[in-house]
Amino acid sequence: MTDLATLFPAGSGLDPRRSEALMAAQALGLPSAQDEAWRWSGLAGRLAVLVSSESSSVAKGQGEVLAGRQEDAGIVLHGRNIEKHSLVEGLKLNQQEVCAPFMQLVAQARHGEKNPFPLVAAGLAENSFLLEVASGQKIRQPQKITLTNASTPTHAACLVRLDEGAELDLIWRIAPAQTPTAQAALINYGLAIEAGAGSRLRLLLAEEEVPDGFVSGGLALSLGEAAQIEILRCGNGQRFSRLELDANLCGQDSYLRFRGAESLSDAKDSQQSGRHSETVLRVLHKAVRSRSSLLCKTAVGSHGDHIFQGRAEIAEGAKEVEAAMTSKALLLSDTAKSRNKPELEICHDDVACSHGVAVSDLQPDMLFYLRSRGLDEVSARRAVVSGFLREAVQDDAVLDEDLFVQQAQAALEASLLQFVSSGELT
Amino acid sequence: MSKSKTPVLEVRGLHATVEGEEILQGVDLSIQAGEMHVLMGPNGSGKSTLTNVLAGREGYEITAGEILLDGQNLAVLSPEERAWAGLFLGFQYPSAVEGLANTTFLREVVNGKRKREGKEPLDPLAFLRVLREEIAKIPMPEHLIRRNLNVGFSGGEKKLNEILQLALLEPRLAVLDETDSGLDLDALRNVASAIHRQRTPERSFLLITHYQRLIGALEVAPDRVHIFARGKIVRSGDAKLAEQLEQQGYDALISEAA
Amino acid sequence: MTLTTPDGLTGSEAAARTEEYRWGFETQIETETAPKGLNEQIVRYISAKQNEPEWLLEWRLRAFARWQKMAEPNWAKLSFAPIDYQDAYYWAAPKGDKPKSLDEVDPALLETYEKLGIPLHERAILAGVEGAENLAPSDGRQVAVDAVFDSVSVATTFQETLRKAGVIFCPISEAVREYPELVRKYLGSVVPPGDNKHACLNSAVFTDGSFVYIPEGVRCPMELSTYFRINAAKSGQFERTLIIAEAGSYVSYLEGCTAPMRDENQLHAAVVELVALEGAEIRYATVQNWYPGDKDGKGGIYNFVTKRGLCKGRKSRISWTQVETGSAITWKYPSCVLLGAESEGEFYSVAVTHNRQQADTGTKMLHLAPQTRSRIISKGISAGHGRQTYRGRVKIAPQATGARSFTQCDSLLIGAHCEAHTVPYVENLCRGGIVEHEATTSRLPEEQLFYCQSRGLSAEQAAGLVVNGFCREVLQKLPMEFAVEADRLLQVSLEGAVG
Repeated sequence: MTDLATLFPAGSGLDPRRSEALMAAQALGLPSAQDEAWRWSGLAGRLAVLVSSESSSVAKGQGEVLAGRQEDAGIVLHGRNIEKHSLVEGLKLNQQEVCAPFMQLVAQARHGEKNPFPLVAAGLAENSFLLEVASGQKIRQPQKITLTNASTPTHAACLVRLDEGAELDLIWRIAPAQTPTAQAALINYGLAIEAGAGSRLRLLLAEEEVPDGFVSGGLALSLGEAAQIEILRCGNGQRFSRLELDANLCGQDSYLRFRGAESLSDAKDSQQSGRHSETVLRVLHKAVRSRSSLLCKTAVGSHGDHIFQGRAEIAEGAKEVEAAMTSKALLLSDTAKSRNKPELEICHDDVACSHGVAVSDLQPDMLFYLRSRGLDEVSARRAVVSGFLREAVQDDAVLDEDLFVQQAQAALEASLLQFVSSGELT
Repeated sequence: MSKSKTPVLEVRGLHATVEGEEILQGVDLSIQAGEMHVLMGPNGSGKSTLTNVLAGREGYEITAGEILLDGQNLAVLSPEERAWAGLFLGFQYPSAVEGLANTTFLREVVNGKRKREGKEPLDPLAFLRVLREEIAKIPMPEHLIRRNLNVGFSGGEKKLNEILQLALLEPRLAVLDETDSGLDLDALRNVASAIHRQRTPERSFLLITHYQRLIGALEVAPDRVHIFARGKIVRSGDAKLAEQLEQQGYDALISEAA
Repeated sequence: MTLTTPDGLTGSEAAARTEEYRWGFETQIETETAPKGLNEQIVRYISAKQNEPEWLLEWRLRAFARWQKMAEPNWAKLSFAPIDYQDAYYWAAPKGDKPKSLDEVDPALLETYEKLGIPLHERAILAGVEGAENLAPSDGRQVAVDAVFDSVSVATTFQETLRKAGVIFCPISEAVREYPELVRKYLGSVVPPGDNKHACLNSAVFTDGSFVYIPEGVRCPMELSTYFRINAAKSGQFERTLIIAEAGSYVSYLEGCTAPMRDENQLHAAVVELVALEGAEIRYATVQNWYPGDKDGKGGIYNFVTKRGLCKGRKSRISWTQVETGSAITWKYPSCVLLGAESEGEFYSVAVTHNRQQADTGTKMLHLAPQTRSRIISKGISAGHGRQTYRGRVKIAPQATGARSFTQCDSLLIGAHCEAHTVPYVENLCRGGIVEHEATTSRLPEEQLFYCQSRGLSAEQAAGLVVNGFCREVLQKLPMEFAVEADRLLQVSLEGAVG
């Protein structure tokens, strides 16, 4: 078993705070299939991608910060560099004071769950940064942050802080580099979000396919009183992708909504075909009247491996809590798999919780109905699968003028188009 | 209607099995253009099997006989090819499809038909105009087209949505399976008059039902009524047969026929 | 050899506690026990006591060697002090030889079973079962009973009647001697000794449980039932039950269990193996009412049970029904391995945890063949400081085309300190398989309570009705006499939870 320290050595010359993050990661060690949260995503055999990508050298140089053009607004992280950087007014970017509060948030959210990757990101990212929205500030222009693959791993650690009443729309995008690299890519990010009282964050996780991508995302959320976080995730999966989210609903009336729409098609560019996508969502309800609603929809194509692990935990004293969690998957190929573990952990009686799982192929009745209206078989299959995935975003589609919603729909349609053209539905 | 014309639907000596069991045991039925026929039968008589065999559902195997729509053999066609040939099946329990907007679905259905007819597809706005016209004719509540296909529809709304599809597809033959099931009196009247408005001199109807009440709700009496039992038609007559059935019940009429 | 002693309660304490757990009395009877503790000598002692053949002793010794190296399963959400395996007796039996017939059974034992409502005579019905007195004798089905008292079976009724039908129903110690080839073929074939530490301990030290064999094509003419009673202090019970249903046969089996109230915990580690061959059906029901400990969590049985059924033949069926109201700790997952095509597994469960009871229970359904079906209905009720976990696993293997599984898993929560957890694993590895899982948790619905109360019922009665409704789907799966008894058990075990 490869040691984490050999993959990501805590090199000398690092800022001491970052070195601390790396040490903390190394103390956790690499998770294995023995760790419950990794039981279906053992890293053994997958580590080659990490080793092969020159991860042992730690960059000394400061990333280049470029002012982006208007139409390319946002931040682009490529390997160790911030390639572009432009932000709208009202948003503060700070690259200095990130590591310690980031680690603190991650530690609070995680309760010792074994995932060293966000800490590795904090330790190795040259381009950690803090996005801060001041009290009462409402930012209407969605902010885009793009992570691309490079010959060196891309590590990103980002802390988003919304002060009281602040609002932000954030687009967190995984995308292939403009100039393709032949190498397997590790994109590892940690995103810690502190949502103050009455604040609202909408987050679009748009994951485009990265050639031979190994993507690890760690989200740590803390929600204050009446804070709202709405997350939409869509994409076609990666050769290996794992999203792990920990949310602490600390404030009364806080609300977390997660919607996932993923379509896993055969990774044709890879010798080890098939996508592996694991989504781990853990929600801790600590406050009265806090609510969470999680829905993941996944269409699984050839050699696709879908994993959903959810856990809603209702602490003692958190009365009038509502928590709902659903994972639905379509198995569209004989080689598709879906594994689900939706957990509830409840410590008193004043709650309304539910969870559900449904996994099957497309329903023959539905296809027959559509075909009897003249849709050919392929069109009928597409219509049902598209509808299945669109359901995840549909109730967002209220405001057509809303830039964020437009972006979300565009991202979903793009991934649908890719899935349809992958031939999984023919 | 002249009897010398080719009938719209011609079913001859039809036998069919489901999971190896013979359900249809020699169905003969002929429907001329513009006619409305009603097929009545008790539960388990094989009515639903007949509709599924007509529409080409998987798992239903024709072992003998033939089905001709305008002289074309339906048995060799896929469900969508039968729709293209002019057959429409109104479902007893239409599927609900999450995430598929009713308008999106209907437009795909209509544009598919237009393409086959060599016409330009309609853009969303043009289609909306067409759709609004048809909705007004049926009539049905307009908000239903903004919902997902049959998701959260009441029984009556589902049936109206089926008739909207019928109107848009303009079939030669509409087979409506238990269209009256699960409807209250008001909904039944609405559906019956919506069906009536779809009648044309070229279009034929086959209504399949358990009860006489749908016939009672129709504005014009059907041309023929057939009693279906043990996988075949055991008696045929005009609308009076339905009344007789109402008074005497299935058992009496079927044993009389046997 | 020791004589059991009273458990040191004052009269009024005992009376108060008997209110809550009326099965908690102790039978004064001379008991013979093995020396305290667990070692190879004890394993030999148990084997010798039952006149076992050499192969079985070896089997036990191998299991014992393995057990010493195994770790206890630690994944369940249960907390309890480590078990001192040396501070218990692994063999306890009424003194004297086993009675040859029912007439020879010690009157003290007959009285015990009379008090428990278990008839050790062969009259028509299970008379002592609450509610059964309202049934005409002709309504009552005949039930054959195997009565296991501590480590031994003291009586088995209707054996002659059953034998005429070709059915074997006897204590497993007897089966080892009389039907060695059957026992040897199937013992450990469904639950191998190394399956888990508790099952391994059972394999080393198991004592009487029941053996059932239904020959091909035979429909067992009556319900079979085993009643387990722990009586001796500081003794564990390690029964082993094996049921084999040959092709086309049918059997319905029910087990019940109780124990005296004692301040120390007692260990019950049983293994139940079921084998259903082509077209056979086994219905296995449990009404588990071990002593749950007192309000503060003192005493009570540790119930660590491994139950598994193998649907070996095509179109075979195994159905587990359990009503779990007793025990301080329950660790139990009656499961089905669906190996035969078109076979079916069912799991119907009601579990109650009140006061300081803890239960980690559920099922596993492994779909290994095409067109297999499984259905899981689990109803958990947690009250007081009770802690309950549903833990389940449904897996549809790649070859199980057309397999279907449905799970409904509901928790009813009563009070601000109870806990209810749900840990389901739902795996579908087969495109042609369909798996559905639904779970809900809720508190006692206030409108329903209010409605009942407005009709003059007390809060407690109203809650009782709601609980009954919540569990109905499961209780209906029990033979009628037992359903009535099970419902009453639920009400008793929830006494004091509301209001």
